[in-house]
Amino acid sequence: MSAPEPFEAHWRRQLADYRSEATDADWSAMERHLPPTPGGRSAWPYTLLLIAVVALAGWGLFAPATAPPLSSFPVEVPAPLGPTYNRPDRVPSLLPALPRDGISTAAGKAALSLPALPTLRLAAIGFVADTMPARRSARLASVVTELPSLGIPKVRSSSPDHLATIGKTLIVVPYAPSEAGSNPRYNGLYPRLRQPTKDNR
Amino acid sequence: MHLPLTPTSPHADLIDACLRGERRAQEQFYRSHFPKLLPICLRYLGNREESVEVLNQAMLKIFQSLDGYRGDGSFEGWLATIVRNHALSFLREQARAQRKLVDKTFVWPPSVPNRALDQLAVEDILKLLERLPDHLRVVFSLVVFDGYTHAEVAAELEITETASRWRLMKSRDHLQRGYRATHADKTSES
Repeated sequence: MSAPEPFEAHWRRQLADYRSEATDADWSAMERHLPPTPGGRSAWPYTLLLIAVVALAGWGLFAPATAPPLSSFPVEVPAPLGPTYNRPDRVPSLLPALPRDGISTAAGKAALSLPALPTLRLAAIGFVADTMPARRSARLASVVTELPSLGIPKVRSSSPDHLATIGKTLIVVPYAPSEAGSNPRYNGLYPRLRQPTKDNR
Repeated sequence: MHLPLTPTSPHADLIDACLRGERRAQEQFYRSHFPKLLPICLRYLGNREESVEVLNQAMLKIFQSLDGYRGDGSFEGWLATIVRNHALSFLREQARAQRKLVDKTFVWPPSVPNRALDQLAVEDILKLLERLPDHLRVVFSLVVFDGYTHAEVAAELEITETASRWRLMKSRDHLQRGYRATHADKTSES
């Protein structure tokens, strides 16, 4: 190899002495190439601190409540029953006397010394509108009672005009007389049936 | 993991810490060797941006290979070899990708002060090297700065020795001719 030119020797010397300090940007670029260091020494204090905080929080949340010792409560032991112990009277003897035939009157209640309870009757409040059909006209009732022992009653239609319009026949069975002097055919709900008279018999 | 470095070596503790992955030790190692290693990349690659990128890749390789240092030769020489190989590898890959190994027109940078070639400051030298085509700069740097023989250059760059000689001659011609073309009048006057 030929001898180097004079300028080459100068250049070699210059570059040999040349120094270029690393900047923070250079190190940052280098740091991006480096793998993360999870096990680095600088991470240990933070890891231990985190573990301690988690442990304390868990202990505070899930540790059982410590019951106070038994000695902190006053314990009273009842005195044994001595000869001066008076047995309490029997309960029935303390109650007022009750009539033998039960309590059915106000006097009986007073005998119990119970305060007379006010009785409040609440009337059922129903909503009734003018457009609502009447209860009776909703359907044609069929009243069947026990057959009288005297014989088979007559079967007749009470409203033939209405029944003819709907194509049905209402069988009305009159009540059998049960008590003399009363009107057993009237039950308070339906209109009275016409009693057979000499004219319509 | 065994390092042949003696415990009294100034690098031993720092290298052990780097092997443990301690980031502060890695930063100290990086900052302490960066000034000597960056000029190696600069004279092969020319501009600082590419040089820092290649040096960082070489540093990563160094951190991964610290436990493989056998202690043969100086530690700084081992680091310089890794950095130089990375720079050459980068140029090879760049040449394959961009086909940059073509002769470029050499233009003398106007910022270079009016001084002789053997009186230039290092910044001006680096500017001139940056103007050289890659294939010429590599051979010039290997021979002039790193003392490679043409046989070693041929083996490193996978070229013939004749091509290595031709490239070295061509790079010298570029530098001297460009300098004369720009400063001939002023040089003759002085």
